[in-house]
Amino acid sequence: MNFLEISLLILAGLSFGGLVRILAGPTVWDRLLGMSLISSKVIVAIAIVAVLLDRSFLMDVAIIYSLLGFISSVLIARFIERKGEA
Amino acid sequence: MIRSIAVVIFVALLCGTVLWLSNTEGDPVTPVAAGDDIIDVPGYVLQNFEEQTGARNAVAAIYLNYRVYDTLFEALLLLIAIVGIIHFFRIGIRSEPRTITHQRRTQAGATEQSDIISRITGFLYPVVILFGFYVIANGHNTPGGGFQGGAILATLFIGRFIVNPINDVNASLLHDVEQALFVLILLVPVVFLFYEFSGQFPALNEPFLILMNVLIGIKVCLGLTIVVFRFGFDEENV
Amino acid sequence: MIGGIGLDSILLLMTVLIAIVAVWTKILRHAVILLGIFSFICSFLYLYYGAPDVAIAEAVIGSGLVMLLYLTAIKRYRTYSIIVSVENEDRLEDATMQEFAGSSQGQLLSEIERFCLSRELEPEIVYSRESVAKIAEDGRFDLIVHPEESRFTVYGREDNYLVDELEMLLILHSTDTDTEFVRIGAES
Repeated sequence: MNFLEISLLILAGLSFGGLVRILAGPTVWDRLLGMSLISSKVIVAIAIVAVLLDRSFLMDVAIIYSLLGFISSVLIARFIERKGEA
Repeated sequence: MIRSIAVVIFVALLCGTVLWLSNTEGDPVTPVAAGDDIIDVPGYVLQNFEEQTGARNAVAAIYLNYRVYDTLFEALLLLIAIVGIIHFFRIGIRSEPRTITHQRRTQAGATEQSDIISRITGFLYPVVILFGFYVIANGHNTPGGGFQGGAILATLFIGRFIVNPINDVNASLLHDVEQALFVLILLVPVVFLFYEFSGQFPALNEPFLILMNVLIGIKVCLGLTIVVFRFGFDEENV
Repeated sequence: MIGGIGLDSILLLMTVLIAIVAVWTKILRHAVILLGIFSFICSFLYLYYGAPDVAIAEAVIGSGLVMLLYLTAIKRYRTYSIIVSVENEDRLEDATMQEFAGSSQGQLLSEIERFCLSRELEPEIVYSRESVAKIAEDGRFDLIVHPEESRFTVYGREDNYLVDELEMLLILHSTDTDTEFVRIGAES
């Protein structure tokens, strides 16, 4: 078990913290925050997996995830702030 | 009380099943009988796909060359779904561009656009376009391909929808272009693969994959854009 | 399996947990957010098991396009905005809100919330330091709640039929605090 594997497991444990915020969070904004927390953790985890397995194409997937995570969290925030008007 | 206990038991059973499933080994790949010979199909594909199709991503080799029927019917499926959506929401479509629920928003007072969001989205625009076309055009070498790249390009239109909710998309024009692209998607593999050009001109294999990916990508992008805008502006029409 | 005990088991357990909570939440927006996280973790699992093509498709569709469709569908589900006017506080902090939610008047507020959920309305509680008159002038409310030392005043719209039922419910429930209902006329 080397450094990268240990950090991957730590990331998985930390994303559980985000999960707690999502499940328990009183308002919708807490849940949104937990979602972007988990998505950033997933992006870092993909980068680590790419290094571990020595597959450079996984970085493409990481870029897609980061773009989509941003777009989707902005989308939901905008939607809820305006009470569903665009 | 009984309900909560039932839920707890259900959750425990599900978690146990998940753990059990994740610890079992998958079945080894079974050889498939073809005629009299026994052929190991996945092994055959993985061994020969690079020289036979010119792709470096085995998935692209399968869905654009070995099993191109799947792609054709998938494209047909998306086309039919979009035809259904267009005709489902046909009632009361306005032809001129119009801001969504204008009266309600001016009444609510929160009409002004967020400066941060418009700037960041403007910055993201070229990046997403470039990346979408990269995923489409490089789909035969890296993961991705027509469908994924087209969907990435379609999320761009969602971003535009968030920043500036104006319904100026001409759905019928987009739909016509999509139908023309579907005919092309149908024609290109039929001509190229079924007349066995791919065996005669091996140099054309890679351009064929790129052309197919680009066609599928643009078609999927147009189709998903129609869907998203139809759903987004459905409210004012009803 | 990369990690010693298997990263995938942790993530699979998370997906099961999220899916169950998404089914059991009463507020639909929370369910949409939970589904977005579900598809995110799911697509990471596809990637982990060696299917990057499927992972990209799942991420793009699940957390981008489907979410917009769900949210536009939720637009039809009405929200009921309850504004709590706490005038005497100097600053609005989390602690004051929690203190209020724990008090006996907060019990009444949660009673209102439960009522909204039973009527398939999504309650949205906003704490504000503006005075009641100013909020009423603004017009962006369905119900204004104004808690004081020993009184609990609820301002509702005159034309809202739900206010009558709510009044009956709250008068039945409030034994130790005075509950008063004030109707505000429908503005132009």
